[in-house]
Amino acid sequence: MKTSDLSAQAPLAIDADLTLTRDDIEYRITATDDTVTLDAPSIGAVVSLFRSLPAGALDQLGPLLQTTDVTVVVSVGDQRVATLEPASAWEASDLDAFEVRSVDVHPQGVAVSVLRELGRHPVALAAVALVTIWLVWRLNRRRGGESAQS
Amino acid sequence: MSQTDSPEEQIDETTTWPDLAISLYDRLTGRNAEITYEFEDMTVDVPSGTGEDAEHAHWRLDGTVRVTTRENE
Repeated sequence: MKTSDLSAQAPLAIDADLTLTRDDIEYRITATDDTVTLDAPSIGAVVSLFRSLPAGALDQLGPLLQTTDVTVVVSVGDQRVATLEPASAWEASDLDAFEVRSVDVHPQGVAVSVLRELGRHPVALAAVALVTIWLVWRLNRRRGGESAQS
Repeated sequence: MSQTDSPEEQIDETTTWPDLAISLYDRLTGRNAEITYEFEDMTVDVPSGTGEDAEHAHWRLDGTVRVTTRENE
C-alpha cells in the first residue's frame, strides 16, 4: 500500500480553540481545516510537553496524521519551530508497519526562540556569548596554525 | 471481549488512533455532520506509562474542538 492510498482514508477538518495548561504552563491549541497549531511559551515548554506524553504516543502520531491528512505546527510566539506532517514517501503493507515520523525542525525559529529565552536571563546569555567567542577564537587559532604549517 | 470472539467481531474493535479517525470519518461522511467537543476546565492526569510507578502530568483543557470531514483529494 502506498502513501497516496492511505492519505485519502479519512481526511478530517478540525476547528479548534483550546487552552491546555500543564503543570502551570499554558499552551494554546488552534486549528483551521487541516492544520493544528500548538503555541508554547518556550522551547523548554515544547520539549517538556512532548516528553510528558505516554510512551509510544509520538509513534502513533505519524499514522494518525497520515490517515487524517492533518499537519501539526509547533510554534513559540511568532516563530515556527517544528512541523509534523503526514509522511509522503513510504511503502508498507499495513498501518502497523508505519514507524517513520515526518518532523521538520525549523532551525531559524528554534534559534530565535532560544535567544529570546536567553534574553530573559542575561547571565545565561552572557555565558553563551563568552563560550561562542571562545570557540570562534579557538577555531581561528587552529586554522592559523594549520595555514602556517602548510 | 471474550476469547471466543470470532476474528470478524474483533476487527470491529477500535484499537488505534488511526482506526478511531477512520470510524469517525465514516460516521460523519455524507451526513454533513460535525462533532463538537467543549471542554470546561477539564482536568486529566496523563500517565507516562502503564506501570504503577508511572508519573502523571496534570493537564487542564479549556475550549472547543470541532471535527468535520474533508473531500478526498
